[in-house]
Amino acid sequence: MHDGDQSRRTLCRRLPQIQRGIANIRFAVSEMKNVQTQRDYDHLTMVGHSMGGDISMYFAKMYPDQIKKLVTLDNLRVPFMTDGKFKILSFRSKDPVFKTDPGVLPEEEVREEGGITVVHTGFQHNDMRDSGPIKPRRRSRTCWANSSSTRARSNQSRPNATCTDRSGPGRALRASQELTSRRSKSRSLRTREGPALLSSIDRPLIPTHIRLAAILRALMSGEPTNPKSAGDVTSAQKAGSGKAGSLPETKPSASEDIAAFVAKARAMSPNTAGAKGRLVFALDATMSRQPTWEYGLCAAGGHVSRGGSAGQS
Amino acid sequence: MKRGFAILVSLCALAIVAYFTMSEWAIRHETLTFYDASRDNRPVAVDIAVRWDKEMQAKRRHDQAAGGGPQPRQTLSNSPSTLSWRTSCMRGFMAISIQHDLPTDARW
Repeated sequence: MHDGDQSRRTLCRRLPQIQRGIANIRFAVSEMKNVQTQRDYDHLTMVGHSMGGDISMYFAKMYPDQIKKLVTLDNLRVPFMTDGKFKILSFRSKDPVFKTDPGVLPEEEVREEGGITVVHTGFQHNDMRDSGPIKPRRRSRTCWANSSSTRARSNQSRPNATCTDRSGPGRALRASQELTSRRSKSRSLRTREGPALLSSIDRPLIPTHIRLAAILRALMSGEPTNPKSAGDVTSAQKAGSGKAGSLPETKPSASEDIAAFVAKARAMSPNTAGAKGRLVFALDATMSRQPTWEYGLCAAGGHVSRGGSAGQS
Repeated sequence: MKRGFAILVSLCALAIVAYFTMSEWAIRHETLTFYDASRDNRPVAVDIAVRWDKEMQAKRRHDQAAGGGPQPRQTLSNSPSTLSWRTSCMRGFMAISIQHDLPTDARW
């Protein structure tokens, strides 16, 4: 399947949630006009990470006259607006799992015309969360969820699940998140709870919040923070991240490898001959972001998706 | 030598106090829940953070002060004391964070 079709399909699946977010924003702004009256609600500056960034971008597409500036942190699905009605600053991750859909980021020359500044960082997608990277918790509390709503949904799908339940796909999710956190820890100098997104852009000795403030100030004063060039940013990232190293490249398994694995699994099965064994795949939330997984869900008619991903971004 | 060290320590202490004053104590946090009648009274929780002085200034002047900055919050916990909040508020913005998800919402 073509990449564009896949990304369109993914966007279509998430469109109801994006539209719900836009309705929430419009409703909240209309209510806020009654609470805080002396404010300029017609020229909003929006900041969003991941799905929040996609919601922001979609909102900006629908109501461009209400937007003054837009800051997105690694939004993956909704293409950027390029008509230059407002300034856009976007920080991008370098994540082997969370990849930007094709067509989301405009070409270099289009960015310049559209007032879009893109800063490529060396950090992973979840390092850019507003609350900072996901930190591993103690072993005694193994129920891992990004939010109260996620936790509630997780418990809904498994009514008997408790926070000390160590079985099931949640374990794989936790392992993945711990790995992500460990990687990000080795890469960046972080403040207590802030996102580490800017640590590799320039000198790592400057606290993250000061750099963020500097970029926000530049953005809000009408001066976009332009990196000198893609090469400069990349070299600065290398200098900032020091000896952190790069992530290992993954390559898809060949069908022979898969057949060999299945044969080996069969040989190891304790079941007697003729009995039906079970092959269990544990998928964590990040795996569910893979296009093949999305495609599989769509091909299966979508009814599997409710039990699919356990986490959100 | 001693005097220089004392001055340095005093300046550091002053800077720390000034930072916390600007980023923590001078910011008013409030969480409001609105109910959208057009969507079956759907609760929309909104965290608001605004600097006291800017709020007073806006009320006193009765004009339009700094722009609001809704931050679409997708799955974060309900704590407004995060970095971009503080940064925005320190700059005089009113930061608004909207909780989009409800436990009853369909997963995408």
